[in-house]
Amino acid sequence: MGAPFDTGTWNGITESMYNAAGAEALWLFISIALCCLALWMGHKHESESYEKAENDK
Amino acid sequence: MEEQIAKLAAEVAALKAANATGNTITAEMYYYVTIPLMVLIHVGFLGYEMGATRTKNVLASGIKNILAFAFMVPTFYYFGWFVYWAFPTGFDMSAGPNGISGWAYAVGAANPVGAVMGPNLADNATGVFWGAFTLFAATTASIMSGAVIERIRLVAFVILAIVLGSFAWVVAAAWGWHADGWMVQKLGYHDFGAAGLVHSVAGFFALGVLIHLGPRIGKYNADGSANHIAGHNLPLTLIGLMLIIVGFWGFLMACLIFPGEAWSWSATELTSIYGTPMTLSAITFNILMAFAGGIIGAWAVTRDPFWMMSGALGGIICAAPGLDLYWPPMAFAVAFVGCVLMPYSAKWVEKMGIDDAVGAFTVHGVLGAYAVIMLGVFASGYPALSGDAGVATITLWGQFVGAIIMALLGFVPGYLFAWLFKAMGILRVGEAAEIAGLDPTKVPASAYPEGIPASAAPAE
Repeated sequence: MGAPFDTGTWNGITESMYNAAGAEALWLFISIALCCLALWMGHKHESESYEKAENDK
Repeated sequence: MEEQIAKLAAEVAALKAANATGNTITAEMYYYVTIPLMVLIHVGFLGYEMGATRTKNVLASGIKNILAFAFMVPTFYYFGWFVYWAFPTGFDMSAGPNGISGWAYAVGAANPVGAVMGPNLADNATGVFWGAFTLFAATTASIMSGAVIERIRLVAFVILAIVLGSFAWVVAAAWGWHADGWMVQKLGYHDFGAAGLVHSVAGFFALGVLIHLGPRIGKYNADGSANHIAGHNLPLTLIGLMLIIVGFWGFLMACLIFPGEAWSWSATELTSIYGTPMTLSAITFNILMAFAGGIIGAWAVTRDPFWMMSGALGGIICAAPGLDLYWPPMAFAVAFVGCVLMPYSAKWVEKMGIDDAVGAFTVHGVLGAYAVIMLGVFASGYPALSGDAGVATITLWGQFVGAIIMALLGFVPGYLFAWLFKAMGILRVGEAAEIAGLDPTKVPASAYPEGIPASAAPAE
């Protein structure tokens, strides 16, 4: 990962210039996976909290 | 002489290039500014919902709000923006008559691994358009949020918000906002400020969820009569609603198309998203008159500040489809009447056993549908699109059918997904947690660690 061009100058750079050129799909997958992981962790935390509340009543 | 002509020609070319650059940057800044304004809608929703919640659930409500916004951003990037460009002609994703829709077009314009969906020096538009639409999506999801407070499970709510904000309303927008949309092309459907495709969709989605979610414990008595469950901070709710009004200006500002760009409908004038001519002055007249009409109408029948501020929002929704077309006193009257009906609708919903904690279905679902139909009553005959004679025109029938379609686009997925989550046992929090409070059950922070002090003794 790094600059998608190695000319050492911005001269002539007129279109896309983000730093993950060629790895767009990989980073898309990583971000989707992180969202899913967060949701799974949230679901686990919620379920445990509600179970504890039931046991404590 | 020839030298002078060549010099003049070069100067003219330079001036034209500078003007074009200026127009491009101005257009980009215009949509950029709408985004922080629309973030204020979420400031408002945070205050509104937390104020409407009992203290034992206040931070859980806040978390729900914040997460809905957060998850809208990546999911609208992954597929929501693609849906808007792919679906205007229907679920077959065929190319539309203006050549700016369909599967192939969406792959170029909204592909989440495409070159325009990131920093691109040749593209001053995609990011700010996507950003504005993402805030529309987050607003739509937030509308559902208030209705389901104090008993919905957080993860189920987030997934429902994704379904609503990154899919359901986007299909509605593709059909009823996009100039290639079949509802616009065939029914002449007109909905400048998204009363149907955002508010009605979200309100009916919330209704579908509420049917399966059930009421809060203590809302209804054994004989079916309803109890009022007061929020802990009505002043916070009122301020929240007023902030939503501020943000609404950004929302409505983003509903039009800047002129002079390759993607513009016109070289020289602002247009609606449909390409029909309009001015910011026009919508300014009507936003303010509808805002006022809604407040005053609600005050006339309730004297209740919660309903007055709901009327502020509801009033703008009532006039939203025709903010570009209405005569301002008519916008005032349409908003006034809609917001007079508003509390009766809420009471009826409550009588039906639906616990809508903040009246979201009434304010957004019912008034959104009312608004779409009223435009058909008062603005029939306007061409719905730019172009020569023969384009579809606004009709009462088209608006009526459009209102039904919007209601179904919201209700069906809300009802089905909520049914699924209920069947899986992941829709609603446990009874013990609901009684104890969601904050002590699952939030690692306390909203009022020193308690809320009792009132001071009255002055002598």
